[in-house]
Amino acid sequence: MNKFIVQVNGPAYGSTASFRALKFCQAATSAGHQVIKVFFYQDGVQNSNSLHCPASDEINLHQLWVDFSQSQQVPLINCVSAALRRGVLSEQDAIENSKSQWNSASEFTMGGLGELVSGIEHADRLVCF
Amino acid sequence: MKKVCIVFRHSPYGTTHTREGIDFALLSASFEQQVSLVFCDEAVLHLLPNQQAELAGSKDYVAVFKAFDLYEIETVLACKASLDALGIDQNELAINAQIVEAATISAALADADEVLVF
Amino acid sequence: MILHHIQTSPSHDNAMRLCLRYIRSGDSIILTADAVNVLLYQEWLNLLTAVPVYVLKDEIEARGLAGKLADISNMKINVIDVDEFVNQTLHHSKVITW
Repeated sequence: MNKFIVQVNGPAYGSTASFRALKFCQAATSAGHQVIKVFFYQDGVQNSNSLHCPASDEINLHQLWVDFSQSQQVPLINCVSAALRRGVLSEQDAIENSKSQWNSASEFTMGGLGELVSGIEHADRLVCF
Repeated sequence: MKKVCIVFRHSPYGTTHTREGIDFALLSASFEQQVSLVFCDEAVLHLLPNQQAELAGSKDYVAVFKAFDLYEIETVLACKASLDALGIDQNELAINAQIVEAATISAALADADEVLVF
Repeated sequence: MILHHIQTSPSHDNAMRLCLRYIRSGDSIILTADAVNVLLYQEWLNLLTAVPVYVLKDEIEARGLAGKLADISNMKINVIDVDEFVNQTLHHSKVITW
């Protein structure tokens, strides 16, 4: 069993990087490995946006990440500074920034870049998408 | 502690790749990881003097490059082939970087525990 | 023993060229997403003859390229699924996503 940290830099829609990252995570956990966390950075923070409304016959990558996280107990971490700059806010961020609305799903935890650094330190392998 | 090598390959200001990579580099260094930086391809343009990032709608994230040693980032490599391709002479650089052949960069990539490209 | 991970087509990004500048003997390349198009250009194939190349099966089939790529016989292309991608990230000492 090996420990992976997976970094996602692509959004849920507009690139397929996030889709491949999810497939990779699913394959890794199916093979008995551990994904210690998925860190969303750069445009990857868009994956946490719970307001994604794809057509009914299209995949909902946001929801697939939530499902994966819950079934495999894998933390989903959003880089908070990358998220705030892109208008991706948790309820707490909305309060702190005096915004009346927020969009980041509660299954995604806002965290600092230290989460990525510590994840790299503790994982056997970093894989970025 | 891990040896983390961070590679920059994009031109200044057209994207935010380098800015977000620098944020990661400085944070890694402050978390006492052993950080090395590599500038290649058009990212070597970050090393030129007299930049005014605000005129291009960007924060002046290049200003912090002069503080790399405060973060104990001692290894800053610039790809000679990239500089040559852009017609930049090493005397023109505002940042104290080692100008190196590709083989030196290959060795730095091989030596690191993890490599992140921005 | 680095696994170089390329996700972009060489026609719009310099990732592949940079990877080849710094690659060492013993390293491998995995092509995903539009990077699979590398295999359609003879000029790139000529540069890859000495490098072990992996390519994701789903990406090839998604693009309808399986037949075209079957014709490339002058080099070793390893068509793999995502399970083998996971294995290869562990068989190599690290993954560099360009």
